[in-house]
Amino acid sequence: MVNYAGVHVLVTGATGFIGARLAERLAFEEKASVRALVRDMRKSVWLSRSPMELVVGDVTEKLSLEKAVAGCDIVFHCVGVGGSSETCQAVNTEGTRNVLEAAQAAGVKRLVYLSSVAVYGPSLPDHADETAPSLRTGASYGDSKVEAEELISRFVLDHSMTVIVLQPTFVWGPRSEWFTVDPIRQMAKGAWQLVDEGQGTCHAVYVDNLVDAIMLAGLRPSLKSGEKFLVTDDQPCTWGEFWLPHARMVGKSSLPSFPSTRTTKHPIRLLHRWLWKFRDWLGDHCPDSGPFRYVVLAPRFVIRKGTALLRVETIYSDWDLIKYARRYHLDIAKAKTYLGYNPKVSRADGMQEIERWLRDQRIIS
Amino acid sequence: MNSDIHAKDAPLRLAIVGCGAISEQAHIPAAARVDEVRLAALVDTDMTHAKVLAAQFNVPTAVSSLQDCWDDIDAVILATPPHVRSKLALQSFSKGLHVLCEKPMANSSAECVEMIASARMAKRTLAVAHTYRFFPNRAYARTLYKSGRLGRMISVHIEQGDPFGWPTRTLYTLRQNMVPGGVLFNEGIHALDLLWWWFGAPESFDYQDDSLGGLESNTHLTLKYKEGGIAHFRLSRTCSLKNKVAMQFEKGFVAFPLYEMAGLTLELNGQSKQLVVHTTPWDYVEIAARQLQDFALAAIQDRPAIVPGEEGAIVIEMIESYYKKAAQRVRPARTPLPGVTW
Repeated sequence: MVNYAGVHVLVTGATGFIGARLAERLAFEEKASVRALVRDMRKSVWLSRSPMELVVGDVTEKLSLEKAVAGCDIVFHCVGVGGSSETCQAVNTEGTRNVLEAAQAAGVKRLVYLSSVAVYGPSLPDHADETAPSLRTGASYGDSKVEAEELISRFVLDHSMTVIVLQPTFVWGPRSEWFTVDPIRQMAKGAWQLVDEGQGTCHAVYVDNLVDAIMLAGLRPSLKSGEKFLVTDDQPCTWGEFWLPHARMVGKSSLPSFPSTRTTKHPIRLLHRWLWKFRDWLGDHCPDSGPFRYVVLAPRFVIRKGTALLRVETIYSDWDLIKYARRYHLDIAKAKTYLGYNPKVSRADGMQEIERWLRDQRIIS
Repeated sequence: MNSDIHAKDAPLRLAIVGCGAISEQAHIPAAARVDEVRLAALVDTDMTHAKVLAAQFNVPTAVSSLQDCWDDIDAVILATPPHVRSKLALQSFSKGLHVLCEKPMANSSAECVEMIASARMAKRTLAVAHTYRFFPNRAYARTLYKSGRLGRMISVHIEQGDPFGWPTRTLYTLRQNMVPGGVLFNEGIHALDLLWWWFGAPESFDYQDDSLGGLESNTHLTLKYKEGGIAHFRLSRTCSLKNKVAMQFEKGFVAFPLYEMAGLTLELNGQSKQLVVHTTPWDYVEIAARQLQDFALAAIQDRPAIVPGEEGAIVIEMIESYYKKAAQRVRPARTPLPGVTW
């Protein structure tokens, strides 16, 4: 492993799921001198448990970054947001530009950028590795990450600072809103669905395995600037194998399934959408009171009950349907060879940790 | 000396030092409800904010330092972050002022000792804002317990937890350079004071928190009492808990929501009932007003306040002993799970 004792590091995105775990492990296990960039101090109730310096700042504000990077040897740039294309562009792309420039100016030796497997789009080919072409799909998050990586590729050509890019798959573990807490809550309500009976391939990465990779990328010698590394757990599983243990935590032995073929362009979903548009039109243009109200209310009732029988209600976008249905294998040989990455936490152990955390925080009873 | 010129029947001239959330939401509006005080000045290092509040609440003066107004006042409420409270209290006593100190009254028991000695030497009142003692449901049930009608305490279960959202201006409760502890020191102190107020000092304790060398956000505390009673206290500022107090006694049962001021569930002699102890509309301003009135009367009548400095110090000592035990733990090789106590 690497030795961070006394190394001065800055973690951006430190109140987020991955940044917070990285920062606390660097401070607690590695005894690094950790500075955490915090946009909203109220969200630092996790970080404040560790001995580290909390600095209020924002990757979109250059002045705050200049102060945050001063005196740091390594920057771990973990900021990443979803939302509108403007927000993703401002934070994920331009924010990365700001962090790169501030770190270079401050004499930082290495910057580790947390990108995403989303840069390859939803349909990675089987046995894909880092040589796969990145892809703009129109999705605001993925496109902003593609642009940030392109920016880094140009940056490393004429700057001395080493920049390493990590591309994790779906990150799971305690404290993840997207991949743990929200699915668990949806499952408890009966709203979570498998796609194609959960037969698609799940390449997820447990948060502590990813943090191991990030820490290796920070200090591993002789890494070439601009190199990219896919990071995932050792062995893939099916989405059914991944989600059903979660479902059991809330007392469910099975989950409903949705066919991946029923994208938003499927005739039944188009019919469903038009019927609901008609229902909304009736509501907007016809009075639902007075003697003729049943002329309006009856068709609205019939549409509501009838469309329920079509069973096309889903929580998934077309991107999600592709993501959860595809069957493939990712190759992480590069991370294993050059970073020395060896994912230690098994899926079973990760599930146990999640359950323990969820119970402790009363998210499940 | 200020009290020399302060007539016994005139209201105490009061300054509030620190214009953060608790002052804005409770102390300043409460002062207008108390005949025994007249709010003369607001003090805050952020003068712009102090002036805004002074204009909003018709307070005649806004200054940036206590020394800019201490010749014109008789008493202060110290509502600053706790790391400066002892220094301000000592300065206040040296100028002959009475002090109502927000909780926790200081960052260490050593500072508390100094504050208490200084108050005694100056013959001035030192009271601590353990506000929950003024909740009528707690006072009612405690009277029942102390009368012996409920019998011996068997067990107490207290749960307090919400994701952090207090609208603090300085965010001192999250800053390691301003406070010695996290959720127990800042939020859990009310429940600890309640336990001490009802049951006195425990014989032994077991304490766990989730600190990784910084400020804890989750705790488990078990207190064991001489007569066999046991109290369990679970506290969090990362997750939602029941926010409830439940007390089982030999002859009865008492329960109330943690933030409820007037209502409680009481089981006595096999009969259970929901009680509303007081019909006055209770809110935090009213509670702060009762507390301020008690403080003012204690100062004017030269009698102890309901929560004197000596009792505020006891809770700080208790917390220090828990932190001391936590600090002696063997560090695990791997970083413990987030938020899970160890």
